[in-house]
Amino acid sequence: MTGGRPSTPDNASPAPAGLFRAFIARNLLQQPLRSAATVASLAVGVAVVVAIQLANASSVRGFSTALDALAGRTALEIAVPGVGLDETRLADLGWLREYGLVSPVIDADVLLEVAPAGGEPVLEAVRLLGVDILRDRPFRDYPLVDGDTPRALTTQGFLDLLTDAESVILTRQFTRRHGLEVGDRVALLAGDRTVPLRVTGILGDEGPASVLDGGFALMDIAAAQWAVGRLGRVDRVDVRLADGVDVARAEQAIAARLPAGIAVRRPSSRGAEVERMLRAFQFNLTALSLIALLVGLFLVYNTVSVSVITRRHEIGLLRTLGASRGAVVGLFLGEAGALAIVGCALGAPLGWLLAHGAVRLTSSTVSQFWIVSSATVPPLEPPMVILAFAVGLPLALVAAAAPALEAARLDPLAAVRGDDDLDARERLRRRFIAGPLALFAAGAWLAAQGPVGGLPVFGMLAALAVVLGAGMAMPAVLFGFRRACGAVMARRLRVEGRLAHANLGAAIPRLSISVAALAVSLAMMAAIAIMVGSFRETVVYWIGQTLQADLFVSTARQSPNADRGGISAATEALIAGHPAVEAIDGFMGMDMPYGGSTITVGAGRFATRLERGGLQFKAPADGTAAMAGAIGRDRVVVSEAFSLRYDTDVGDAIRLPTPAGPTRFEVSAVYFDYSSDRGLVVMDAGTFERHFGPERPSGLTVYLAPGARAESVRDELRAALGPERRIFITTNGDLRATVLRIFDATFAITYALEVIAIGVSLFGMAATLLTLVLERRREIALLRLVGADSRQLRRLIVIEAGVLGALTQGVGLVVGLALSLILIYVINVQSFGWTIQFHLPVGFLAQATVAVVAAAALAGLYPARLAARFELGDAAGTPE
Amino acid sequence: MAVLEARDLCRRYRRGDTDVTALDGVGLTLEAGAFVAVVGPSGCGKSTLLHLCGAMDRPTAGEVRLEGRSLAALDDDALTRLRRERVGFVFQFFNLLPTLTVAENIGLPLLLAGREPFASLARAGEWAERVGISHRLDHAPAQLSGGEAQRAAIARAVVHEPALLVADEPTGNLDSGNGRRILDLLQDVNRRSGAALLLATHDAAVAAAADRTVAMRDGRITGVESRRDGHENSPVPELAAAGSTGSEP
Repeated sequence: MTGGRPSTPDNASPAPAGLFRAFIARNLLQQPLRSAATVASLAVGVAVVVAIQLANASSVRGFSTALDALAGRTALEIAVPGVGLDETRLADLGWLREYGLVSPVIDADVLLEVAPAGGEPVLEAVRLLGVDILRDRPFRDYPLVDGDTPRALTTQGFLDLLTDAESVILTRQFTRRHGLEVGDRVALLAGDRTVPLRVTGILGDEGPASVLDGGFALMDIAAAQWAVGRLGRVDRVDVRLADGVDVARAEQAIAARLPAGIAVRRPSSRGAEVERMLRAFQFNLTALSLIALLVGLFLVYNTVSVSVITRRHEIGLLRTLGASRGAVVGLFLGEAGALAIVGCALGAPLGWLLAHGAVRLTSSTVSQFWIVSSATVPPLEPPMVILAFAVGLPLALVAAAAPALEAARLDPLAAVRGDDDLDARERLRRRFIAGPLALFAAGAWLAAQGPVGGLPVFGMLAALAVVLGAGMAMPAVLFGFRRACGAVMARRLRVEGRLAHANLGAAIPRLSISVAALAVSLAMMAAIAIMVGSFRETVVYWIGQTLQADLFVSTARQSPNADRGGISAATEALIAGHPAVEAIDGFMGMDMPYGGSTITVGAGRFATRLERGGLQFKAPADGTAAMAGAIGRDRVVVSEAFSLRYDTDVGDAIRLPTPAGPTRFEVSAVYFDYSSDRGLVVMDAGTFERHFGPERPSGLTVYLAPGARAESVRDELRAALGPERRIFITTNGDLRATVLRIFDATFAITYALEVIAIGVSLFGMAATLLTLVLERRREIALLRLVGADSRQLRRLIVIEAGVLGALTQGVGLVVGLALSLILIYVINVQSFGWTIQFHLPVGFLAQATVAVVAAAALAGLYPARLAARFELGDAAGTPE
Repeated sequence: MAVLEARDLCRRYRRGDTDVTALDGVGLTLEAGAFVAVVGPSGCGKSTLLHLCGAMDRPTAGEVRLEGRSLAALDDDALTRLRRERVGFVFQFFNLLPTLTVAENIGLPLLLAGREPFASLARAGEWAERVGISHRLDHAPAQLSGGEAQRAAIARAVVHEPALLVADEPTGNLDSGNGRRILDLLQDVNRRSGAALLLATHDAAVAAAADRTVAMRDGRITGVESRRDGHENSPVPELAAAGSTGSEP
């Protein structure tokens, strides 16, 4: 200002930035605990979203990176999908050289057994590549090392390292992990065979050796064929195109020239198939992670509400001094924005840390059901940080909008005088009944819609409609509580109950959102508990029905991919020869691309299976007869997941790729299967052999004579098979226990996410109670004045908290029940193709109810302590 | 025995970097049934004196004795019980709990004391009848007029038959007609119940109704005026005018 000119109202009012600093920023810093708590909750919410995205990305990324490294410079792959190629057909493919270089490979998941000196043998899964090194060196990098120094070798020198049938080259990571050196011995387990090998070289961290945590082994193709039992066959022929040849054109031209049954595809298509397989699982995790964010945002709402409530007088002053309504809205949105910026900035790295835990929890599921992938969390890169801000910041502003607008609506005079209390007798507005009813109706309609691109989009929207409807119904629920429970509370909980009822009844507008947020979290917990409980009961019933055999024999399989062959005829004969064994069924399977994803095509001995029972048919009514009718014909039975995913029913025809070209099979029956969601097509072993050639089973189910003890037979068989034949024999009881252990591990991530959401919600409950206590500062002081002692005040607020906990849990249970129906009958069916029988886990829900009410009551302790410390002068006015 | 004896009361507050002395060596004695008005300009220490005498606050120095019992030795909960049983309060802004009905507001001290709810509310009804708001028992405070709300506050202040009734500007927020009626009601209660009434006011007409008027300025008592006439049932202690310390002897 110059010349002492008096300031005009315009230039006298502080600039918005200055006002923000003075009014908001300073206040946030003066209340470090509350600010930190809000920032922490928001950070956790954002972090959970980021963590799930990173975990999802890492499982696919681990697989894709491995795929890229293993493919090297391969542009195209030639094979009979799922089957490989008979070596005799390679000669007919000589023309492939017109397009570039070709290299046949064996590609298998195997186990390596390392026996350290004096220690217990250790098994580790590795990816085995068997190559003709003369042809393969232009495809992939194999940097041999000697300790840390590169070891230059000519191709001939390399060939010499692999010529011996026992030679294997391992990676530096693997050998360091197990203390191996060149010359040491390891054993390869493939099927029931144990193949002794000698380490002849070590690869540095480049090319295929750089991925899968070094779980990679290189052998000569002939030795590999022998080791994995694929003599006379290769898994595929890799093609490296000559310079200047266009991949798309070459793919098209090669496809046109390939004989029927053999297909060409790009290595990356396998990655796309995997992404498609994992999509539903990841979609569901993402939806779940948003719950934690939702609850975090509720806390932003709450913090800004507290800010507005405790600063009404100041807001009134600002308004009387000329601050516009817009400026007041801006200030409080700015508060939310400032908290959100810090929360998101912390949430992104926190999410990266949480992702490590999430990966641990999800990778076992992913590798159990879909792909073996060494999932490592990718570094935190700008896109994830941007994601954190993109979800956190706008939503935080939305969450703060309601209290910010409330601040702007304050009557300046009333706020300054402090008599702008809420009308305790507010009526229930009609929209709080009509709105929820409309949303519930919309939810019912959405739940009846089909999937979109294999994803339960409408199912999720139905769940969202129910959640929003429940949230919106909360005022009606609270009004119902006010009407119904007054007398009971006054009678049972004395004067404190009467006061608590009156206080809660009067605070309905303030409570509705926080109660809704907690109720939604609890509803999700209840829904997931009901869904998982139902699923578990269904699986228990299913394994009870289907696991009829006494013993289960399997090879050392380390991959969810169906493994062809494995159990040799000698092993099977030895088992069949045991006097207690009455019948044996064998199962073999192979992965096959189908409909843009991967399915498993398997074979079993239908006659044995029919005789012994064990399949639960969904359709037709007489599934057993239909299955019997499939023997000797081109007919298959398919799993429910296959039927739903590919919209295939009894009587429909499907075309599967076979070495003779695409072949038509008729679907005879649909059966329930909960072992995999990828879709199973099963045919009789005879039909399989006719189309795909002879194949050894990868698993046997063994039926014993009545009275035989499974454990004794197992031990006798193990002894007879000796240490050389490495197969696993499991009794019925052990297998059931294993299935349930895998089941429980699968849902660990679900519970982890829920625990976070509920923790944040309870924190929110404490924050809400704090808001209420601060808002009622004068009333509480008045209560103390007329004689409420500290014990009565504590009891009053703890009762309020407990009642809120009980109300939210009650609503949570009802809404959770509705959500569980959507989860079970819509989302699960559309995502995974599983029919789950409804089952209510009463014990768990009862325990959760007690825990939530107790936790909510505990959450009231801090506000109660605070209330007991209010100055009595607050009741009467400031002392003169 | 005096209902209230306050000696050499000092109350200092810390406001930022400065100490504010709200009361400085004030003394006061009230016998049962006495009606003492405290007058003085805003900020003179009237409310602070009432808060100390009503066991709402603790003096920085000096002593308050209620019915012969020193308040200094009592902890917060004991003070609360004392207020609940022996003191009643009426304030300028009515101070009813907005979430409770009028009946519950009036009966609150009895409910908090653990009395049986039915009897407590019946007693509240009797007092509502006496203060003329029995037709409003089931209403919320927000539905009452200013005069009605203050009647309810008075009923609450006396429902538990306190020995001391503290009223801080009880007519300050009312029009003159309602103010007059509230004063009459307080005097009536004071006469009938025998509770000592300590009342702070700006209003000379209200002060004139008291047996004794204590004038205050800057935290000290600057004068005391005694009137026996018209208050035959109210024993007025023989008090001399305060000295330079501002205390009633």
